[in-house]
Amino acid sequence: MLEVRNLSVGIATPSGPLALVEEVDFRLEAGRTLGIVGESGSGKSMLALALMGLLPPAARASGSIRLEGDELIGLPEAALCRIRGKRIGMIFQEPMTALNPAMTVGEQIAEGVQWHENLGRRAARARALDLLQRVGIPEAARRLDDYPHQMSGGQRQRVGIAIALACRPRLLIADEPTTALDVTVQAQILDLLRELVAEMGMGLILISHDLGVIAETADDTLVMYAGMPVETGSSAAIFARPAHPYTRGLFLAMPGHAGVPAGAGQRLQTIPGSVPEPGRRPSGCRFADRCAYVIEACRAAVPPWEPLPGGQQARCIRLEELP
Amino acid sequence: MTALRTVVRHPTLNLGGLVTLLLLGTAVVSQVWTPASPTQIQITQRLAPPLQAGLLGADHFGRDLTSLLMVGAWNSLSIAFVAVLLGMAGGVLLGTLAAAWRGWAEEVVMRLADVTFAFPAVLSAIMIAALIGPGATTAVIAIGVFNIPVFARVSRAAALQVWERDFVLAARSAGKGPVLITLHHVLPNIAGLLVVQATIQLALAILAEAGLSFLGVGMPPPHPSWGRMLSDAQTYLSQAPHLAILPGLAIALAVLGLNMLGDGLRDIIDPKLRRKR
Amino acid sequence: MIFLLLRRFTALAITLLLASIAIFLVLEILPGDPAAIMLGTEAREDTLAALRREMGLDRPAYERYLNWLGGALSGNLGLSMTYKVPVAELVADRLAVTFPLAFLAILISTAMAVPLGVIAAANHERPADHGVMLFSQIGVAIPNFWFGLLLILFFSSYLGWFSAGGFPGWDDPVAALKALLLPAVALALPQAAILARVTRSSVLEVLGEDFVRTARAKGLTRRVALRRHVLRNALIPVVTVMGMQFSFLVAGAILVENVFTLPGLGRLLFQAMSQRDLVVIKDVVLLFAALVIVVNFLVDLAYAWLDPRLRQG
Repeated sequence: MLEVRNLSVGIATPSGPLALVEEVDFRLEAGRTLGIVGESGSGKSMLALALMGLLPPAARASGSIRLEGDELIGLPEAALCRIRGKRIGMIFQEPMTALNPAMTVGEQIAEGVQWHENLGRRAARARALDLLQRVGIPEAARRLDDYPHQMSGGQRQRVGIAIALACRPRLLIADEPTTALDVTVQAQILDLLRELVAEMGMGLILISHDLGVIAETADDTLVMYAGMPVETGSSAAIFARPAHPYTRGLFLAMPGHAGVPAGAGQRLQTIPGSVPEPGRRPSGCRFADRCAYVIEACRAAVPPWEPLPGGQQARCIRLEELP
Repeated sequence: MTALRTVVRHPTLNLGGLVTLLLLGTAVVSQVWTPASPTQIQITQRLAPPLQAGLLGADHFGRDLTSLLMVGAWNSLSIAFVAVLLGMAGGVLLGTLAAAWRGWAEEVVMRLADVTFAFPAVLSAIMIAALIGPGATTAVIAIGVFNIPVFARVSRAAALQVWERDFVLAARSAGKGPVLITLHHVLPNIAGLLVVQATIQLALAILAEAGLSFLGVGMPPPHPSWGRMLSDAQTYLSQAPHLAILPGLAIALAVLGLNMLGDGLRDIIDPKLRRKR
Repeated sequence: MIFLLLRRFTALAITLLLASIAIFLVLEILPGDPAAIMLGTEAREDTLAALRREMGLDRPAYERYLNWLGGALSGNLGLSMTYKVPVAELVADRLAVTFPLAFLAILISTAMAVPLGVIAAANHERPADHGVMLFSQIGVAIPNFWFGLLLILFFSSYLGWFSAGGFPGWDDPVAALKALLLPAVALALPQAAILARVTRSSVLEVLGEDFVRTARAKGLTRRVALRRHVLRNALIPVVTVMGMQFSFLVAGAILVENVFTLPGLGRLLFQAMSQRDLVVIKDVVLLFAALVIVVNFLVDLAYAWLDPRLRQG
């Protein structure tokens, strides 16, 4: 349903073009969930904005994004507006600021429906009520005319989901949808997303820095580091046998982690250093500066994809030598 | 170094500074030298257009317009300067004290500021002029009074922020009283902001002074004043349009220069605001 | 909501009261003998005494103040010394000029400034933006009375499209509006310059908000998102500044009415000052100050309408 090939995002700066996201490839089928995981600065959000065609003015995407066979890269703005909200819905991280404070939630949900489907006020309002019920807001009929500030964070995120689902899109992108929420609310929102995917049969791209969130929800996982994918495969495989040193580092930094290779112990560890900014990334393997297993050859060129059993792949030249 | 570079490369600041310097220079020079006497009446060159009598022509009494404009700069600037200084003194006193004491003192100061805002300089100048007649004092009081609430609000808001800072907390726990803290910590930290505000208020005060003398409640004749020159020019609008154009241009240039200088200074003192303007 | 309204109303009443006390102090207590000021130094003692009696100066100050305040509230503003007519009548005639003038000026400045500010923000750091900012810098620096003179010079003296001043009265509404047009433009320009700037920075700020991205993710075009989501939220600071500017508008009206010889409140005040008619001055100044205070109060209320978060209080 969605096929992304060699997607890169660059930004023009006074000192020349700068790559933010490089060489992303993945496929997503309807009814399935792809988790994209990585620390902040790994280019996850930029990737999501590229899929939406909502990159900042100075940024450009290249490569190919095919949604149900239609190429999105290079589409004029007017055509993208007909796709956004209609065929792709997006849920944002901050439910506190992602809703317009001066508009009732009902109006905000109905707006997309009126815009894309030329529905009248009444019909759009009925749809909004329907959606509000579907995302689990109690007494939805009464809450329809509430303003965002009258709702809790979790309820606002439910409204955000209702907005994204308003036109029954085939693809849903959720960028850190639970990061700003309490832990108990997080689980409820993830449950809701899972239910909706199963029920409506859409494809979901779930972006998170939290492996726990990905593990609970995603069928497949893509691990990003410094703007580049470093490992991909089914979530089951990756969570059972993380291959890339970065992925392993992420697992070791996760409380109550599972699937850690023997001998690694059960203490929480952090990856030394931080994600390099665009422009300061190493030229070979992007993880070279922080990797415990780095050798000279790692810095020579970007490592190619190394296939592993079960369709899993990792971008590391030393996979076989790793403990 | 980087601060210096910002100053050098800031076109608004440079242009504004240049115009302001020119204005100040003209005003100062006018006190020792003018091309002709600004009070000498020469009926023969009455309403003469620019270059026919002196550089910029002559007014309805045949006085040299260049000289009148130069001395006008001095008069306008000195009234504006004294008024803003008075307003700043009163406003900063009230504002910092309100921030230091909070509670009802703050409430009273802010209410008074609200009330004073309802009396623009022209309005209070007319009241005062009705009592003591027009003149420099009337203009200074009227403009000064309107500046008090402006500075009170700005300095209160800025002082409140300083009061939240750690070093003030340290000073308080060391037993320093609100007055000492205000003098030693608050004032030095809000001084930059006050200078920026004063520059902008100076521009507004020049506008207000021009308005007052246009109405005849500012400096009385024979002291040259830009505003009254404009008022006199009304009678000869079609015969001598330069009389209506040049003094206005002088006011606009002076205000433009000071405003640009103020904007530039703000950029340097508060770089956070920069991207927005 | 009701509690909030009550609190605001109390603050309004207190501010109005303080303003009236300030005026009374300046005009009736500070001078010592207002009658002497009104008649000048050469007045004869018996005329002075007569005027003192007429003004009620023989009675204590608080009684005079309360009388004045009560009169002002009931529309009885006293008798003008120079015109020998009730001030209320004078004021009513003049308001019919000043009020439409101010209204027209606000209309013109808003109609100019808001689109300019939005255009500048939508074209941030591009030529249109720089152009609007330049207009703003220059507009702020131009005194409105000088701009009025320039307008007369060009449109009356040179082109002959408008008369140079005066007011034909409302019997002929078209002529009346025509007479108010140039003064209103003169009054509107500096206001528009400031408002355009405020609108620009406010729109820029709201454009960066997350909810604008949400709106764009629904598929709304830039333009529609700007209209439906940005404008309303960006208007809040704009309305604040409009309220604060009303005080400058009042000052400007006094000046501009004198440039265009419009028989408005400003001109009345100016004439009263020349004749030292303290009764008229006291009433008109109170009216102007009250106008500014009430407008700012209304602006406060307008927030609640623009920003639902403030409705609960």
